Amino acid sequence: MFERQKWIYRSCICLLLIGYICLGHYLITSTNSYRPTDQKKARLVMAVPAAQHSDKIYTDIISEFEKKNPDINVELQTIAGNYYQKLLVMIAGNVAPDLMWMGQSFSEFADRRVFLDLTDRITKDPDIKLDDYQQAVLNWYIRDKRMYALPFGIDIGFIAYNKELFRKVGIAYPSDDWTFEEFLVIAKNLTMEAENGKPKRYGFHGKIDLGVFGAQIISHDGKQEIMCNSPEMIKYFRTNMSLYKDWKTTPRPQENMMQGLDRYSYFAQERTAMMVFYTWDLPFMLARFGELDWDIVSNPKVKQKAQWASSQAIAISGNTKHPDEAWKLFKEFQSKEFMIAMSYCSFPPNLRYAEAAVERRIGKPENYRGFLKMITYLSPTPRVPHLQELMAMYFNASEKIWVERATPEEAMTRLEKELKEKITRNTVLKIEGNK
Amino acid sequence: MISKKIIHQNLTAWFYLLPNLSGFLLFSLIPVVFAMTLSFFKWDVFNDPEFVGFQNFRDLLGWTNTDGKLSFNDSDFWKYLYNTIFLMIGIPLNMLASLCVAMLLNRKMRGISFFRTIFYLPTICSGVAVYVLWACLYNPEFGAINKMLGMFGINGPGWLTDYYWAKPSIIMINLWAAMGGTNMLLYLAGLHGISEELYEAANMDGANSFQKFIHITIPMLAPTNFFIFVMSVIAGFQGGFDAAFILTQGGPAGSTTTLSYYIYNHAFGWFNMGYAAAISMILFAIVMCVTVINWCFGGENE
Repeated sequence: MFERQKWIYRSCICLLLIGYICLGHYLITSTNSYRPTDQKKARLVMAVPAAQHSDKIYTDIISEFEKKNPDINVELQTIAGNYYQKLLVMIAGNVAPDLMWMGQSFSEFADRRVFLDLTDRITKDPDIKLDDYQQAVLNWYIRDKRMYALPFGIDIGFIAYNKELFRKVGIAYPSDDWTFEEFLVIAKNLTMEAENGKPKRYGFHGKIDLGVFGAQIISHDGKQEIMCNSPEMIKYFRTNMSLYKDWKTTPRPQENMMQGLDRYSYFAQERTAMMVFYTWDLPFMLARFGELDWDIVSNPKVKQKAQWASSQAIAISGNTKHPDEAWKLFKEFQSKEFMIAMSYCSFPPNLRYAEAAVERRIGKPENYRGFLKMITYLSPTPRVPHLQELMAMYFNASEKIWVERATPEEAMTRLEKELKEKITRNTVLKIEGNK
Repeated sequence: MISKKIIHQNLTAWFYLLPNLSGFLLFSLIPVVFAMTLSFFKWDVFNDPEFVGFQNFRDLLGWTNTDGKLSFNDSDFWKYLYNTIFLMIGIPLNMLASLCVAMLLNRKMRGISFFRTIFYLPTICSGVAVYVLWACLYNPEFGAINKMLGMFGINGPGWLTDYYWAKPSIIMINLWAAMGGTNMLLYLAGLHGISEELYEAANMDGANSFQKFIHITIPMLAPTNFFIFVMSVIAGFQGGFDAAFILTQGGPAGSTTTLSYYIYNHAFGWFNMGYAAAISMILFAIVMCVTVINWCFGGENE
């Protein structure tokens, strides 16, 4: 009996080992993205961040592409959450996708030579006309005079306002050429009387963008100088602090913890008359605001007009085994159809297609055309090496101001010093080395 | 001369240990050795690692003297170490709550298994779900906690957005999640292990419930207490990531960033793998020291 049990145990262990080996073999072979499913077909892997509204657009354009190119098979990987971190792991694991979506962190990857140099392909291709593009946005994807990606959408920050509340209070709707003084009068008028020390309705929710103050964290002129401790930046902080401390037109940052859909509810429930949103919010705004009468307007002018902006682009991996096939697919994302399809959540950087998107737009926001003007004064976060760490340091310092742990002067002086120290120690920024 | 039987027995033992050992080597020991090595390199994943000696440790732990004023090279590290230790204030509270729950659930009554399951439920729930639930409860605008406080005319704070409230709020969540968890099970097992004869003898001597608790239960649970404390301290130094990642992103102003979240940011957010590995090594050293101290003093008390 004991002998029999022993053999059963041994057999189990053997089966377990065989299972381990099979599992290991499966994992190794299944993660090899370059393994063609069909020897005659080139297989491309494309990574994009998962988004409820754009997944179908990507799927449709890829299936159309596969019909037109039966010799190419495309696998779309939609990555939910922490896109760049997951991409990093894929690259480190030597299973980098052939094509990848890139946003604000483009420079982080580009500086590390992850992408294929597309300069020659872009300039020689008769289908791509660079003159049609918004030049500033195009420049975001140029490193050392070489092009590594092309944008298909511009993300823009804007102010949405509740037209019904404006009518109730008897105030004219804001126009795209409004000033900060006009904004403040409107915000004060729309703020409703206090209830338990808290206004029942705020005139404005969000922050007036630092770009309109002429403030910069790092200079946009290519020299990449640290400029966070400037009078413009101090004014940016002081003015936004006054919005909630002195004028009480805006909720305090501590009261303000709205993530995801809560932000839309806040606006839809008329808790604020004006609120900062971004182009990627548009599909959610349309779905959530229902019958609400709303529209959009650009940021008010303080020192200058400016809109926060970022962009979405596609880049090709430098390690792709099918650069020609990847280029074919890449071009699909520069097509008029794709840019217009994506224009519901980002504005086309190709100005001809942007005009077409504006013409085709029906319904809200009525001032969609305003984006055409906004893209002439974009204020992006500069594409510098180690952007994420730099921005984390900036956000940390600015949060200290919002929670009143430091004055703007103290926080920005300290931040400037810390950034310089980091550069000196060569642990964060290698701005000089990157030139 | 080693007999054939002993060789056979040894081989059989190794054979049985092999699956566990291979898993340990592959997923624990090799990564730990790799991380130790990596802490002496500068590596951004994309390019080849560059040997920098102790540079990462100097950047992390060193300081500079400017105009007679000492300033740490990485002041954030010390701040986040403080945050990590601050969050461990919850350990004794957790232990006390778990002991109370265990004592309540150690009674012989109908449906006790049901109550034990209910109290254990937060442990088997997904951590993400628990944190999302608490984020809703803590929401200053729509959250149930501030709504309830509002009924009494109290303006509740921004629990997770206020610099001073964020850490205690996270301690509260951990307390809720952990009091009915594994610690409670360990205490239950410990309570089961106490001989009834001791309580009977105390009853004969006329001891009341409190005296029995102080003079019998607590001393008899000393090994359990010690084990739970050591494990909680180790987990405490490694913890705080989930809450920071899901609830606060380390804010406001870094007040909920712990060392584990700082390591994650350096490694996967900013691609400073070598520096992240150096922080991991320091964390490892701290945990090791604290555990050794615990064992020395705890062993004596035991």
